[in-house]
Amino acid sequence: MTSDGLDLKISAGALVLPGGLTLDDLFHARSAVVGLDESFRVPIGAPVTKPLTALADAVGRPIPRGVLLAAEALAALPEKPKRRTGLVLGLPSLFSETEYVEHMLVHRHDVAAMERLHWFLGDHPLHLLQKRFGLTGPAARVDSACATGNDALIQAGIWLQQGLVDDVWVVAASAMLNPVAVALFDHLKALTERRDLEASCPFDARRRGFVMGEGAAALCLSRRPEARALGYLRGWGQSMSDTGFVDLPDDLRVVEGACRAALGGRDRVAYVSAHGTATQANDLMETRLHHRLFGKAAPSIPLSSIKSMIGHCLGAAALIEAWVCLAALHRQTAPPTINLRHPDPACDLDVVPNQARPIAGALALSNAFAFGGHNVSVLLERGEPWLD
Amino acid sequence: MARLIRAGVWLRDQEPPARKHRLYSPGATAALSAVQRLGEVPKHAVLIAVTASLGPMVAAFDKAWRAAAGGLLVGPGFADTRARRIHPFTLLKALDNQVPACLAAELGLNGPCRHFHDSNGLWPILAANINSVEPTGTAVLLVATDVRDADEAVTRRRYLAESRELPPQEGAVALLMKADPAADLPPLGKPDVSAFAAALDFARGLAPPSPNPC
Repeated sequence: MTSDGLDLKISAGALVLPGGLTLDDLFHARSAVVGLDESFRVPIGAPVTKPLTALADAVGRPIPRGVLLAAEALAALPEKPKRRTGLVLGLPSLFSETEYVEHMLVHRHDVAAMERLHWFLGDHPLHLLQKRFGLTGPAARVDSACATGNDALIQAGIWLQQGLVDDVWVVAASAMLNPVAVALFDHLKALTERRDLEASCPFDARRRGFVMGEGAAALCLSRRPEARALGYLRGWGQSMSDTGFVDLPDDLRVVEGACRAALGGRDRVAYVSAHGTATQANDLMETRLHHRLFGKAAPSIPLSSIKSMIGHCLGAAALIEAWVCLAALHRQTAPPTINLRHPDPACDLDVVPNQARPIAGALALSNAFAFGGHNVSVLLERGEPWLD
Repeated sequence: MARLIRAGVWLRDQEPPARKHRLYSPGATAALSAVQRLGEVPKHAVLIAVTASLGPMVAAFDKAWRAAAGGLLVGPGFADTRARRIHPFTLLKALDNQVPACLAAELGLNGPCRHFHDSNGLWPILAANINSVEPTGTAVLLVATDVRDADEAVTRRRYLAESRELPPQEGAVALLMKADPAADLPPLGKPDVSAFAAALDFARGLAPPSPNPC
């Protein structure tokens, strides 16, 4: 699917990254992974450390941390909403369930405290953000687990293509770095067993699973001729793997189909943002996929995973990576895959090891593959120069 | 113009299908029942799923904590004995996107998927999504489900003082649609949402009512 001649402009963006990192830090190989306290089942993670103040005036409500992160990203956007600006909120349900459970564990003796948790559920977060930021257009909350960020971006593209609105703000957030969620993911054997701060090491032979991060991203999209274009959403592709909830497919045709739909017939891009979780299965699958997509050119097309620096921000990861792709195209520099000390020979790709490197070209492909079999890819194009 | 080909409905008082996998929540099982009533569904159909909160998590944790022998509710001991009482699939059952995942796994669907949380004002958005598929000629499978896990309902009544009354109806609905070039209706093309927009603005006090909003 492509945008059929209509320019889907990305006019602004903002990130809330773990560890106080900035966009610039991602091009300087800095890591947000730190040790966690003993209430966590695993010893390391990448938490957001800055105070979340964007909804500080919403007193008396136990606002979920995921919503606070989303609000922080929206507040950092350098634009004001237009009339009937739409809102796509990418916020997987699980964040609220785990916070809800934590709250229950603390307040189970206090029915009144628990009752306030209605603010965690349903479309309350969506309406809270609409009201806070004056977004009067249509709004929806999408959820495809770790591919949520890309699906939120695609949804904004559909609304613009279909003329539902002229402007859409997209925000995705994830705040699952709490003991409940970490314990649950650990049950699934998805988290790394390593204790060292270099454990988030996609494509490394020592990878043992992902390091959980938290964060948020917000992007402004517009179809107005007068809107700035820091970049463009040029294509997208989605598919479902019918292999079960956590299994990756052996047959990559369906995954490849999503990527090819996003590429729209193009056989080369300047940069690929990998899903790159550092699980054994995912990184091998992405290596095979890269070879299938680009054939003989595959080794010369750089692919990297910023999850090596910020961990896996789950529902927010793909939208963070989309904005980083545009920054990479603007800077003509690929962000690195750090912690790559012992490259896995089975992952025989240019994964931009350990430090950023120049790239050449105007297009980047950003991939996300989620629990539940969601395969979602977006193609982004460089726009006008950024004012750094 | 998208033509409705078949519709399937599952309501709470009907027998659910045999579950192939224990990780499916009641909401996902209901959605599967509704879709199975459609008969064969094209594998490449665009799946548009709308789900309400499925939420088996709170009940699962509550059971585990009740079964555990005292101690701190949070803190250093959290991740040990008591956490092991939580079934590993609890995480997966609590993911709302398990509805499209369940449908894909059970029915072999491998087309695009768009999954929404149920909310007010969703219908114009669903219409735009259905419309966006029309030029491709691909079938659209629209599924909406809202079924609460019984354990979850009990737990929420206990801690959230939610109503003891069950909702008037729970269930799932599935609609299979396809672009129909032969239909004697003009193509929707871009949806004309001007009346919707005008009504919305009027309701919010942003604009006077259109003399002929329809």
